[in-house]
Amino acid sequence: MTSRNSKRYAAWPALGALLALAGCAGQGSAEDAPAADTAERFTQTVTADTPAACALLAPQTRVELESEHGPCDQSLPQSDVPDDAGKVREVKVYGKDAVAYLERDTVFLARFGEGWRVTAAGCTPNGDKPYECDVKGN
Amino acid sequence: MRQRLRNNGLSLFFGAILLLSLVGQAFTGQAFYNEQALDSGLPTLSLGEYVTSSQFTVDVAENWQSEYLQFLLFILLTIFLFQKGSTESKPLDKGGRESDKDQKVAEYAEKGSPEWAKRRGWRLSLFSHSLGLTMGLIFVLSWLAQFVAGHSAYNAEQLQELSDPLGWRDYLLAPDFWNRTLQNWQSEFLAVGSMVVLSIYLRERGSPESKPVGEPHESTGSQG
Repeated sequence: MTSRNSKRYAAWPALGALLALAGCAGQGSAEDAPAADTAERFTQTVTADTPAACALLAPQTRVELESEHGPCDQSLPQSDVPDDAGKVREVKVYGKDAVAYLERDTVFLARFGEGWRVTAAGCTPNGDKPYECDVKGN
Repeated sequence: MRQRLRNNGLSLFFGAILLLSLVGQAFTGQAFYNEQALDSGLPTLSLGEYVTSSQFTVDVAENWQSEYLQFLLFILLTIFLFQKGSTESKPLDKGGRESDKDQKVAEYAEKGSPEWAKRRGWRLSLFSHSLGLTMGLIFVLSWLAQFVAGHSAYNAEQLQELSDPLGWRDYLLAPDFWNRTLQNWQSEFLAVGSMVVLSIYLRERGSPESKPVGEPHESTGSQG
């Protein structure tokens, strides 16, 4: 066990890197605005410009919506996603995942190669359980 | 060159397998993360994104903090606690911080003694506790890294599951943080405990971690 003493100096650069990663990993202040902007654009276009709103859905979420309710252009406006949910009150970003709390809805997002996309919308709190969302992936 | 390699073989070998296992952890961790992401229709991470993610950082930090806690406890507790017959224990008549003469400090220092051991003062005091302080500091900093990265990784998972993220104070009390912490601590304490006890009765010829093969079981603190 005494042989481990020689490793203590080698640990410092590695520990510094670890702390740097811990501090900057995941906390996405630079992504707050793009995530919030996507959430607002989505909710504002649900009925006003449905094809644009459909284009902002995550691929799996759009597949789930269309497999249950038909083409997105027709099914999205008929969902319980509020028509214009208002401004974003708060957004929280962790890595490639985000949640935007709007005035009249809560929207979950994920950052794909092409940008932020909505993974779930029309979400209402459910106590300690996950939100109940009208539009969501699997 | 050959002599230098021979003299530093232990640290070089462990340094090399540390790097190899970190690289292996990066690849397997990325593959596991992406497997789950694809199943859920969520974005995948490139290797570069994964090794700078909170998911990778917390997985590394939770292991490091427990290793350094193990070192810290072992270094400090073996000053005052004994295990008769174990190679990991001091001889039974050598409890506590020991005499200046035994520790070769100040007027008892030798020609080759470290500089800070040769004169009394704050330097001697600091150097006398430098090992425990260093292990303790690295433990605290890596546990802090586990907390910060774990908070972020846990909240990313919460969002993927359509749940609210936790604040800092709530995460400090969360099962995720303490489960990660305690599952690592128990294995470290098991390792030290096993070594302390097994070294009483078992031998590995030639290893400094073992008593000489013919050394009595009752013999404490001797190494082969």
